[in-house]
Amino acid sequence: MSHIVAIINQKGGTGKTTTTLNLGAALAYQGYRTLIVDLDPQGHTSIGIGIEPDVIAGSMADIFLIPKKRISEVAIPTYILGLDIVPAHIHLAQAAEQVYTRVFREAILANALKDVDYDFVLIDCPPSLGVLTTNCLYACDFIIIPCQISRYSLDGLADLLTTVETVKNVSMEDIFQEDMFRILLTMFDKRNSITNEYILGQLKPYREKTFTTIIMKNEALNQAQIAQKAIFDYEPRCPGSVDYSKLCLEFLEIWRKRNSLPAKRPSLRGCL
Amino acid sequence: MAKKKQFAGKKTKLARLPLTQALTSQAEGGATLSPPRPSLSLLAPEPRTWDEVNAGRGGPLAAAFLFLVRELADLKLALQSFPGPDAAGHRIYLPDRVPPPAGIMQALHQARQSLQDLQSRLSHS
Repeated sequence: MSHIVAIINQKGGTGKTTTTLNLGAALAYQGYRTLIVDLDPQGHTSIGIGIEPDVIAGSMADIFLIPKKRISEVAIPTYILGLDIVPAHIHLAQAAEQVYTRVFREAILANALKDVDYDFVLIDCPPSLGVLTTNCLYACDFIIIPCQISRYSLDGLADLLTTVETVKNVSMEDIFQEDMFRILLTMFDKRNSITNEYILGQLKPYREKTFTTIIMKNEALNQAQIAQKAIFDYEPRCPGSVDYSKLCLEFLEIWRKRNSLPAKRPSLRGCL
Repeated sequence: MAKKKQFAGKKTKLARLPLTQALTSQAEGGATLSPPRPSLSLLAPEPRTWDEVNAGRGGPLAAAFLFLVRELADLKLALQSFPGPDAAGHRIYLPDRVPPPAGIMQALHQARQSLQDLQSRLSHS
């Protein structure tokens, strides 16, 4: 059974795409067969790993438009061994509009993901709380919330927790106690001391639900997007590469504590 | 005015969440979070056989599922004009053991999907 992880924050620009792509690459390099599901119609995760949305045969839009279409029919390999992706196309925005009349529309993605043969599935969500994000929340069993050091990211976090409570039909306290999420601080800049102090103060009650790994602001992460590569392949020794390697190990530790860490696949290379 | 003083009284949505307030209170030595809510399977005794469900010893979900399957089986028999309804005819559509609540929910979802597909096919024929 695949572990399905949602990367969500309704605020844009918090590092969702960068995190999905680099955590996905790190997991594959660690030897875990990983699938990235690009659920953002902008298709930035797809583009970021070298897939051009306009030339692909199938995409997430097909999953939402064609009943019983399986994820395995539209997943394609990336240049990283062990890392596949279901790309997104701008058509996904129209497809999302069309499913509003369907019964059990929130379960479309969960049904499509049944029986997929991956260790981890990472879903990159759009910056909104619409039907696509609801599908993602319905399907996932763990949530990573990238949070830039800004007031509006905290508001996004609060809105998201409220939405999770509704979609998963569990109380917020249960969400907290059943270990369903982690906050990931991104684009951290030590120089912004006043903002940092304020935001970290606000997040203090959630310290045990916050990754100890912090993704520091690093220009190489932006450059890797242009090169359409994971950070480990663009500049392996840069701070961004080190941060995402550490994040991957901390992420795996969470699954190890849950006693559900999948076995590594020896055929995949583990070069991190 | 000092920059930090201008933050006074400015509350974020996160700070206003009841969970945040409970966690803050807990950290200050106040009330602790309530233990996780028992799952549905703990709220209702989990039946093991359909006879137990039939005797009213299962939860409402299993009872509703059994009722639905029985009604659909009767309907199928009526449509096929079989002589006399068989009281236990619906059993062939049930698994040996009563599935957990999540399995029943999934079966109900699939039943709904199948009925939807049927409706769609009939409307196009």
